[in-house]
Amino acid sequence: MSPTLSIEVESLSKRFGSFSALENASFKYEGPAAIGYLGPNGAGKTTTLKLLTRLLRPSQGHARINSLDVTARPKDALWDVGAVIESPDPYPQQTGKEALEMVGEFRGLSGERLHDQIARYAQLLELPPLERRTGKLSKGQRQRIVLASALLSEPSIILLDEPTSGLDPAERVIIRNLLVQLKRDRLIFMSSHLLPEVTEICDRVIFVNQGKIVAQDTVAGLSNRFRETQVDVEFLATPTAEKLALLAPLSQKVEAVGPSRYRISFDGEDATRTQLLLVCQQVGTVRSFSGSTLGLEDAYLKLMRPESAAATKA
Amino acid sequence: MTEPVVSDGRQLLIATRYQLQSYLRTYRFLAMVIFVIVVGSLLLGVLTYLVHSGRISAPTDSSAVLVGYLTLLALIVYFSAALLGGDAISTDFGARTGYYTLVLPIRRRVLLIGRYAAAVLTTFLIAVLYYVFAVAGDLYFTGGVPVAGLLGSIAVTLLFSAAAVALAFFFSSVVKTPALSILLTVLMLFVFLPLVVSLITAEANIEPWFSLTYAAAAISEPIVNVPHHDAFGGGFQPYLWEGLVIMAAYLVVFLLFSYLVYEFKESSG
Repeated sequence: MSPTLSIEVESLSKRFGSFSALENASFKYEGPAAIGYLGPNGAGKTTTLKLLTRLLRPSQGHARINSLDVTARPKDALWDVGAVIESPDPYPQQTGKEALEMVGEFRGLSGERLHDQIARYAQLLELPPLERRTGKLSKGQRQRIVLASALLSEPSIILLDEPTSGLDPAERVIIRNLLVQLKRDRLIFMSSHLLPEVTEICDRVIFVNQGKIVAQDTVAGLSNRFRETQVDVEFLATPTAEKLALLAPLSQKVEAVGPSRYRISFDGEDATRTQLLLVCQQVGTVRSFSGSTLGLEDAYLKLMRPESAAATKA
Repeated sequence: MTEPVVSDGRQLLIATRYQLQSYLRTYRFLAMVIFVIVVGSLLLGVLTYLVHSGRISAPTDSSAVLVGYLTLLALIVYFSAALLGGDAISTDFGARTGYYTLVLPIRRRVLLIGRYAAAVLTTFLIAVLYYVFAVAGDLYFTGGVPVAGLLGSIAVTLLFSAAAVALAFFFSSVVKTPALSILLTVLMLFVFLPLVVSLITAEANIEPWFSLTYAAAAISEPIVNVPHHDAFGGGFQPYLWEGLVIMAAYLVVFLLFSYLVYEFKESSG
């Protein structure tokens, strides 16, 4: 493993004409971990990954891997990197085995070690028959071949752009389990739309929207920061004002949003929420009690789509 | 990762080998081989028929027979260069193979030269196959072959193939759609350049030194030396050195241009 093991983006910008795909992004991560890179379509996720792999050149700033500038020294910087960007297609005339061998040889693997590595990943990723041409494989099968090619040389840095996109649920589980294993001694940087997947795999997350980084923290930190501070409760019958007053010590505000529906603002603590439920049962017969903490999803909605978050509440 | 960084030279050999393997499996290569076999066999068959039916006298000049065959060689090289080199670069940006190869720790110029070498070798291989038919025909009709001239001509064909593939790479670098880059190469070599050459030769009596299709005539020069001007009652015929310079210029200029575009092109799609 590389002793430096780091991904760094410093004041990185990418413009296409007047359109700014990424604007002044900065972050640095060192050591083994899995970093989730989240944002809506067109937010700048793939642009960032392309800048980290020199598929794009920065308009401004630097992308460094293991302290090596990707634009100035692409071969050295990418030597210890396995990357899957977009949905790559190997040469369609090549068999799966040849596609893997070619990448392995470019990366310095040969002989028995190369074939052992191919066999290892064929088993780990349940690859399709390797003597079949890649042009004849399904999208999911090709995606697994591509992922195997990225991991074949056991790189310390792994860059993935929506790695489970196009895969069926069983294939997703295979990839997810592998990534959870790999993050113990590698630095994984992955973009995804699948928040449960990111929650399960990643230790830290970066939110990007409209080309700008809007938040970065641990998964737990962000979930807490944006945790739910309101619950909606609906009673079978409209309670009296005296009964409703029972909620006052636990709540900051109680607001009627329907004939027998109320929105209760509170401090967001789990213990308070539990207490609120108990008190509501004293207030009247509870028909529904909603507004649980959604963790990362809640943070995502609040950061990326404040209007959606509001709509969800309404 | 424990493996030491692989040298550019070693990666170049790997790139060339895998690209060559890829080309040899394409339907395009198979189509070219079939085309050459059909054309070579047809020529042999038609000539044999004409000689045996007494419509023409049996040829006795082995150089003339070989040169006669070689008049079609340039077209075969054009087709092959367009089909093999036409999408060599555009496929990385128009299709998704670029996402497989361009993220690897390999310099783009190494990838480019590897692909170029493979395309030139494959085109040359197809040309050599045609030479086999030409030699067979020559031996059949005249019982001999001008060996020195033949070898010289084959050497010129190698340079000519390299020049034609470089032109195909140029179109492949400037457009994003693989099919379009192939089409542009075909149009350039089969329509545009021959048209311009015939126009300026006939109308202005200017030597078309800028055209690869003009330089193609140098392929026959090692076998039969043809006067520079007014060879057959009009037009120009390049000297051997002149043809070689034009081919070398095409190779250098268009390959360099392709390299510059490939090196700086972005995968923004």
